Amino acid sequence: MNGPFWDAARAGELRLQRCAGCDALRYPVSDICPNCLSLDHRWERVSGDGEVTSFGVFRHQYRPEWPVPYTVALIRLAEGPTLISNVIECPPEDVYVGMPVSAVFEDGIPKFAPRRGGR
Amino acid sequence: MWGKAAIVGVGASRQGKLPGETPLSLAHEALTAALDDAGLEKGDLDGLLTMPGTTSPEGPKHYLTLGGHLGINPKLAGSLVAGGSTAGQLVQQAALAIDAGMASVVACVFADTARTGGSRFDAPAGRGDSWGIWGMFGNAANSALTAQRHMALHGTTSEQLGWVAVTCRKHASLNEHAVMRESISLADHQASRPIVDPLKKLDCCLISDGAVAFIVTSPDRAEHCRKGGVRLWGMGQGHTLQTFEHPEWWYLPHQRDAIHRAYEMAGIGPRDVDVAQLYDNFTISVLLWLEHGGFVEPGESGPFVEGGERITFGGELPINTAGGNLSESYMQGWLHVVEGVRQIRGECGERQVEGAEVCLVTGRGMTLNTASALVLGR
Repeated sequence: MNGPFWDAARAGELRLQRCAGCDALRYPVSDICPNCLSLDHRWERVSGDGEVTSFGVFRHQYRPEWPVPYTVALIRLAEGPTLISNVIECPPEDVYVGMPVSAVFEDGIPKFAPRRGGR
Repeated sequence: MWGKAAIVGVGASRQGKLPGETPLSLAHEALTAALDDAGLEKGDLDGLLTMPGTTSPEGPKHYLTLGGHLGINPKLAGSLVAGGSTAGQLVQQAALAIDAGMASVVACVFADTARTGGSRFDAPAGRGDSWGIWGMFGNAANSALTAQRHMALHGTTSEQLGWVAVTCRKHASLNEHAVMRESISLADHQASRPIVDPLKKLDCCLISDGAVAFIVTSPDRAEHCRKGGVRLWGMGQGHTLQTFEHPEWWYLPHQRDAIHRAYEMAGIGPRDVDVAQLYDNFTISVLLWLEHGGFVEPGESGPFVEGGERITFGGELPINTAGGNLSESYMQGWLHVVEGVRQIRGECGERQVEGAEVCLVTGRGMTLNTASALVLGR
């Protein structure tokens, strides 16, 4: 179900599902459109531009493979859907709600970095 | 007002760190206490509704294990898993069954050995892809997102969150059954270890062993019970089962829905509430409930809790009078119902809210998705 999302990410692109029934762009990946229940969709490349709507900085280390600190954020894409991801290439102290960010790909995983030319 | 069912018995086991106990031994302790509180016997029960704890591997078949061990063969049975809103939801299910004549005396039971039984509260959420891909583990992180955005939009501060922790600890100090009774200061809160910014250790609830039980019956039958009944004047639920794909998920609109549905059923508004038991997995939750319950305008909860006076005894709205999940014990909101009943009965001693006639009890669970509310009164 989520194969095309990850195939695109490995190729350095962010692709989301657009419903063939109601035209809504959606994320998280699902076989079903939560708006109109259509089972038909196509994959569409999005800009990768968005803004941080909220974030948390992990200070307690939950897993050995995740050394702290690191930032987990909700990113609202310019096209509408929200992703959960990391803000990287930026000290946690400098992340803020409303921060313009752009998608970057780290080991085939979509993450976000401060947008060049952003505030 | 509705009032077609009443809580007649509440009981809790010992709480805290209880090595050697099991969910079954603790459930026995709590249910026995609740039956005694009601002046009823096991044979009077014809309903059993349960919530499996984190250390009950049978999951939604928990009612079967518990009923089997306790020798209960009821007309109504089942288990529900909705985290912190489960207690309220099960009371509601019991009340509706009683009103419909499907059962007459229903026990609701929760037991867990989360403290000593090896529970891990570090699972990632997610649907489709695990949020663990991005290191989003545990429960504090979800509430950290809520807190961070509330701070950005409304200027809410960590110190304001701290006042919730300090006030709940003060209330727990008046509760001989509370796990954490030693007083803390705002400086202690500020100095506590960061977990997921902006939340610190003292913004987080406890992890506890223990069990809680309630007995629900009809108003007629309640008159013959040892302490009478505390009526369910209003009940409500709300659920945002989507997460971040719902633009307002972070603000938990279902909490507002649950409370206002309960208000409408009870025919009351926020000014009629004398005392509130607000689900507090993290301090930020209390701020949101205050806004959702209409006690303050959206965004104004931070200044409201500052200093603690408005949310303690003698204040505009005493909250979590037994200490809550933050300081009494983490029974996933079940003890909030117990304290609500006891406040309405007027049996809380030095932590009794004078003239408490209406108590609001709220719960919320899962990845911040589910909410329940009860309006209790005489």
